[in-house]
Amino acid sequence: MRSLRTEELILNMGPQHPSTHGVLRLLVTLDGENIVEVQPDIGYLHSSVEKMMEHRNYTQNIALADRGMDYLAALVNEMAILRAAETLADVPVPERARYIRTIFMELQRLASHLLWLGTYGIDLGAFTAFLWCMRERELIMDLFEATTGGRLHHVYFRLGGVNEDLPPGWTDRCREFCHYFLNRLDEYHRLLTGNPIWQARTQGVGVLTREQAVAFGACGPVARASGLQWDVRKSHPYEVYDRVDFQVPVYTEGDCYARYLVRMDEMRESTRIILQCLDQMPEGEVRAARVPLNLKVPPGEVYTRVESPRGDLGIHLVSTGGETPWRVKIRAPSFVNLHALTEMMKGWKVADIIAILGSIDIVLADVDR
Amino acid sequence: MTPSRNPSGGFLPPELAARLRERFPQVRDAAEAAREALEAFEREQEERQRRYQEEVERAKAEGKPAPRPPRKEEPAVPRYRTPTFEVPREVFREVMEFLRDDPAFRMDYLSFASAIDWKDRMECTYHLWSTVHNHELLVKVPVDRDDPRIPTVSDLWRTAEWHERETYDLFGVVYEGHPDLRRILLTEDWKGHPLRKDYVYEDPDWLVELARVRQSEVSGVQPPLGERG
Repeated sequence: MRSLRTEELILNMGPQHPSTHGVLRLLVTLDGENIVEVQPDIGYLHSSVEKMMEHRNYTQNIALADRGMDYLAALVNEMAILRAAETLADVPVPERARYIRTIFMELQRLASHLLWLGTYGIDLGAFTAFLWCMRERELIMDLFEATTGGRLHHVYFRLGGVNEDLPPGWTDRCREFCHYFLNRLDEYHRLLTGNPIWQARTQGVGVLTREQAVAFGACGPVARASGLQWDVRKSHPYEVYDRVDFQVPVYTEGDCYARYLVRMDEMRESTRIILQCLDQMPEGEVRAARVPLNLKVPPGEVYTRVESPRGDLGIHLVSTGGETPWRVKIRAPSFVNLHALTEMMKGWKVADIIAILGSIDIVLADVDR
Repeated sequence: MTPSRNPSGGFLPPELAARLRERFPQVRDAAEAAREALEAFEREQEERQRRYQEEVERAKAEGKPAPRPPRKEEPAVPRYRTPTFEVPREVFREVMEFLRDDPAFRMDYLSFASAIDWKDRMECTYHLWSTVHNHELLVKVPVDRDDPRIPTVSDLWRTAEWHERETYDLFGVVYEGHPDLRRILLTEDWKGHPLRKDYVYEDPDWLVELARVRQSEVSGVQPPLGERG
């Protein structure tokens, strides 16, 4: 029988596409329905945050990190730049402020994972999940708004603490939300985890092995779904993460379903962290006295990292002793996870592109910075 | 994985640092150099304090008023809160291979590859971390600022492919042996490398001209930039 001559086809997806979660362009080389190669074309949201940071002092850089990078994890970005600056300048932080920071970062993780789950549901055709997730996310937004005044962009953390104390009654509202949310999480599991369509779309799809994950520098839930037992909150503890009890969910399958399960488990652990912090939180000051707004960081270098909802967010801060940093290198988790995507996609069908792309939870503002 | 003992994040056991320097004597521990500079500074301060005390006693003996004490000075010595090693370009590849493959090091995870522009010189930076032992270090390699070239490490860590493309894009560092060295964030026809300190980024004429050309290409009828109502 004569073999059929086939030709490779290049499919251009994006940069304006509802499922690319931002302005991402994928150049997909197809052989029939099979993916031969995927080349992401990025940079559409590039605003050179690293250069802008060199022209702003550290207090201004908190606001810039909040807005210029990953817009779904603004408070974690603030923490990233603060951790670097405070480590290099030895800025003291009051105990209560550390607890408040931890609570807000975990709330931010919940909000980010909820948005991911909702949009991933839409990607795969499960619309109900989106409505449910938005309903719960709105409650978190209310909690944010009551304290920071902002819903997405907060600029709440400061050098040596946080801007102001929690409003009266906030802790009770937060505790109430946590108990409410744990019940809702069981509902999500009932809706999706055992759902045969959900499983068929995600199980065994887009596998990334542990070796590949390490080689590609994959981090966060993507690495944990591939069997890499690593969470910056455990390996490089900051704030009060070494004083609370939580598990790091790890799955070894490395497929989209494992990445989904990791995030679901993380939401439960985040809620547990918040509840423990609320119980342990002492009274007292929330901002160290005598930390100047225009802080001069002594000359030196440091590389610090925090666990963003998308993974290991690192800041390499180089200071020459001035009011502005000399160089800030932002190591963005979405950037490396998007690189790993090129490996995950090989050999899958066109219909799986969206399922695999959605499962790594990229934020293009984080990729391009 | 043991949690990091250093509050700033990174740590590297001293015996490993010694092992690295024993294998590659050319490698310099930045923190050690800084510590030596700090000790020299402290010796100098002590010396000044001792001389001041002598002056005070001499003035007392001669019945003169006591001289003013010396001004307190802050040391201008950089702090290295993450273990940092300066590696010469000649042994760079060997050191990186050693760090990845040596059983005591096992630095199998490259966090980023980037560069620092110091205006008069340039350094390529790499952050390595071990998923097995949880220790980490920064590698800094001085390169020629006018013609920055360095061997690629993308064959050792796949993730370096994109990081090196980004550094090439923003700093102009050429990674020799890189499989696909193209701009990644900026467009292919961009001129210059924005993260260099001497980059002029206010109203580059070529960019306005490029936008004008692009616009006429796209529509053919749109008025050029700046002339729209």
